[in-house]
Amino acid sequence: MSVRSDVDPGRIALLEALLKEGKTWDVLAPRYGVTNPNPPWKTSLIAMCDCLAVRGALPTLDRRRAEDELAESVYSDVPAPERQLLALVHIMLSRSLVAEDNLASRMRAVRSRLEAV
Amino acid sequence: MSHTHKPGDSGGERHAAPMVEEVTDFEVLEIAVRELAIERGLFTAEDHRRFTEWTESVGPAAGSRLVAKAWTDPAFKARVMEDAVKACKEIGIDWAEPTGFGTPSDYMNLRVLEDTPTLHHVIVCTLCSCYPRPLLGMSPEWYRTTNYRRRLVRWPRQVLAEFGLVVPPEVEVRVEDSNQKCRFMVLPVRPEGTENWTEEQLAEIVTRDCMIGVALPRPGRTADVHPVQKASRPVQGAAHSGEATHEREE
Amino acid sequence: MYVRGVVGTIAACTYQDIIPEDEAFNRDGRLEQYYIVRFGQKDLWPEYPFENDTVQTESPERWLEPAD
Repeated sequence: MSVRSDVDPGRIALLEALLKEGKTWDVLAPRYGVTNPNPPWKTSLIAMCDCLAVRGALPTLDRRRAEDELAESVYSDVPAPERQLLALVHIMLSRSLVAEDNLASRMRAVRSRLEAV
Repeated sequence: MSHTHKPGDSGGERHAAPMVEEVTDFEVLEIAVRELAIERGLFTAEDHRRFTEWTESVGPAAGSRLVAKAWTDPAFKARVMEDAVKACKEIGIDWAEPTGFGTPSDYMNLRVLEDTPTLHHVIVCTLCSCYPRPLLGMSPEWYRTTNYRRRLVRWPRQVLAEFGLVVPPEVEVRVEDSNQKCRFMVLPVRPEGTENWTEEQLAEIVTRDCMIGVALPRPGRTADVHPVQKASRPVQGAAHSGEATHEREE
Repeated sequence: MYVRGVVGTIAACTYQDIIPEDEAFNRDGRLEQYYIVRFGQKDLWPEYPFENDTVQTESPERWLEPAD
């Protein structure tokens, strides 16, 4: 655990904006009376982590090292499933596996798609 | 809610109708990053479908079944100790799933650690929180914290005491650090008061925490319950104060 | 690594795996044996108060050298 990862620890505006909304599962679920302890996207997130490792894009150990560092710094106050999601995206942005502007525009597109149904 | 596949819908919305009445940015973020990753070729939609199904299929019930069967069938137990991955197939768990060669975190090297009246095992992964997911499902959040991973090797009895487990000094506490490709599960000592129980009854008291080694199975205990973890330094022989709350199941 | 320089005993041989230098090439890499090694807690932490407690970790052969 003493080996440092290469993740850039600086805050990422796009991800900070999500946190400002404050809509983490631990807050939302009770509000809607939903008893599932995990948000519906959690298994998809876990699968994504495995997929990234199995194809070599982001090995498990690299991801976990960076996740530990981010969990103790930038996302230390975030509840577990959201923290893992934000850390993963943060690492992918830091390694240029995904680009912030593409992500922002894709998020807008996904949201319109989901809300249109 | 019905979905039609549109161009660019490379991941699909792979979940049931939302359980909360709003679409959160987190939900949107997960879908967006997944679609971009697939489009970039980091993995395929088929990879993701297969791993999502696998993630949803695993849970601690399999481990409980293995322990209950080992307790009641000495020949099965011997097979478990000889080749645990092979023995898992007898209870319907295939460590080669979902790729044919396992996952990039679980691999195919399970070892079962048998407790005795003078030996108590407890498992950690100091490097990153590796865990025998095919048998136990997803790891609990406390297992993934640096708090647990840093302290268990150095202060195992204090950490166990925080879980409510006090091990007598003459019993050896053996910490197993799964820092390479082996994955471990504890086979606890079968508790007294369970004579003539069926395998189903036995499996009910073998909770996830018993198979990690932070709890002991006992009649009447069918769920893992923890106090809220606050300790950031070793606590000497702590009795718990405050209320126990059900830990969020992972 | 907390066990560096400490004498332990081999508890088990586990599997053979491709050495890291050859891993990128994915085929016909040189193999090395992995072991589970057991250490006394008192050997790791001098003030550890319980005589019998142990730690086991898994190591590739290249991390090990014979004790005297």
